[in-house]
Amino acid sequence: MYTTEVLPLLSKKSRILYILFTKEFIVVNFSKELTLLTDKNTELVAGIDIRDIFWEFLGFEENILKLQTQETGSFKIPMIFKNSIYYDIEIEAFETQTKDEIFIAYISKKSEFSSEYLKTIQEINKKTLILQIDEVQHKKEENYYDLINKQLLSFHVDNLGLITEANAVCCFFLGKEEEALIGQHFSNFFHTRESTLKNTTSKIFNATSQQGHDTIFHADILAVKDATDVYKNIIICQDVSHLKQITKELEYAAAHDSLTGLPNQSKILEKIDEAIVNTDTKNELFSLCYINISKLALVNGDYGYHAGDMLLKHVASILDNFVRENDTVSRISGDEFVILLTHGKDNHSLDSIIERINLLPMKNPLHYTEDDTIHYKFNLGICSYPQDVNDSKALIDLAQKAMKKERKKN
Amino acid sequence: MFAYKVVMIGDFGVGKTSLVRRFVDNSFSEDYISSIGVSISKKLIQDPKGNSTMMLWDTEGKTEFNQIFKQYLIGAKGYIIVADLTRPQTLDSIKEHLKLCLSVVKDAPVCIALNKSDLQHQNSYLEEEIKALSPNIIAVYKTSAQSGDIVNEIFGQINSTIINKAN
Repeated sequence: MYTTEVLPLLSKKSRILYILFTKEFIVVNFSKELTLLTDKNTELVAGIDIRDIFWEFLGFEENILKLQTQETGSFKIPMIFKNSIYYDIEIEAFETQTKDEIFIAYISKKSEFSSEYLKTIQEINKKTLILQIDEVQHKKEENYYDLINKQLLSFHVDNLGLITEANAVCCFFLGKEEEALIGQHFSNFFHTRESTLKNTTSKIFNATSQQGHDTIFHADILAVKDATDVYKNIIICQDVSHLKQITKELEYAAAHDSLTGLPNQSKILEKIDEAIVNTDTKNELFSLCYINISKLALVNGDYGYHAGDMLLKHVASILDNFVRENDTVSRISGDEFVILLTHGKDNHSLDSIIERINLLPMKNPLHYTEDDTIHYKFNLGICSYPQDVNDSKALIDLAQKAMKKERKKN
Repeated sequence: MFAYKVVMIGDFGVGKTSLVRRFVDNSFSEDYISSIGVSISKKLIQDPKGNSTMMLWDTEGKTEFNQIFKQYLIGAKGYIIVADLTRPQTLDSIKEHLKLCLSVVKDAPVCIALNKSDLQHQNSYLEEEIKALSPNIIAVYKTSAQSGDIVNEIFGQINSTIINKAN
């Protein structure tokens, strides 16, 4: 039965490749298009051990046994990469009319959408790796500068700002002898907005080390009288470049979700606080739409985490494309998103917007492979300011409660 | 010929693919393109005791967002857990990877590759300390896919352990 012409026809129509094999892994029948996935030197023919051609089947022995005893219904290995193609394999057992136990492996190639997703993930991983390496490097540099800061960079200047003394760290940093520094104006080396030190006790300097590294210093300025009653300034500098750089990176990472690139929970809370101020001062109304994706856990379990991630990216993208310029979409946890919908002076259009959000999953299912479409739904919870509650956290909690109520109903 | 499956696992960017490439076709690239999913390579190993074929599953590394997919680990005769000597957090992950491997095949031999030994690193991680994590760990090696140092040794070690066990 299985060797009739029906199976190849079905396979062609549904664009899923297949291999039929026995419990001894002997090939019985297969899609001719499978040659795409075999090496040039090998030939897939009936009667050979499938593991000689498709190496991934080696190690499946125990799982085949479980399928045979119906301990499991099917067995899936996602995202196998071969000959520049990604594909999933799913194996099931069935019994022929002659009571033979046969296994069928469905092989589904990934769609174009997958390759875009893969590039994004590779880009994220590359950036994360660079950040991690930088972090280790920063630590090394921090240790180096800590050593320097143990013996702080300092120099003295007179009333005119001319250097009168420089300590060894200062000379080492600038790569100059003390004699070469004395008599020079400090602003030749330590750049600041105003080149005077009068009436100030601290400043931020930019300076370039002898190795050419731009460095930011926080400088404490102490005005003291010397033995001859002449005032001078002692300047003590601490390197804060790393703090500046790390602060910048942390600020971005702390406000965004790295998978989808959307603002995260702390950022949306900030946005809601801004919207509250706008409502209170300009009477501009807004609502929150709390969204939960109905099937993410199932998708992760059935297709693997890649598919779950693809679904999250997909949803993020359709929500982001859907909202208007002044609205904000954020991902606040695993499968939960919040949209801040701004309304201007009235919120009459809210119901129609919510209705359109509800329809987005139906109009935009995830085309996981050329042949496999993942359908999902949203559970929504809505609340508006100032009708419902009056602070950002309480608003999110309320919208979440409404979403949970909706989810229970569904 | 005896053929068996060995799975490479570890955090992303530790050099799993580079170790496989160095072992299978003696090549190396400085470019980092992270692996997605799994790719399988075949290596014929000649040994006086008998030739064998190692099927190497080079899996996608664990990241903050993606855990290692357990299905890839099924049916393995041995595991190579890879960490990056220059990134301490990847060394801390060894314990977690080990737990995952042994939850799938509890008696599988495991080799630990502390990779990128050609780069400057701190030696604070004691090999003995790692070895003490489990009796399944048969060896801990400092490897370099870049220079090729100790690469053949680690694959040779896992191969001979698996062959001895099978006999």
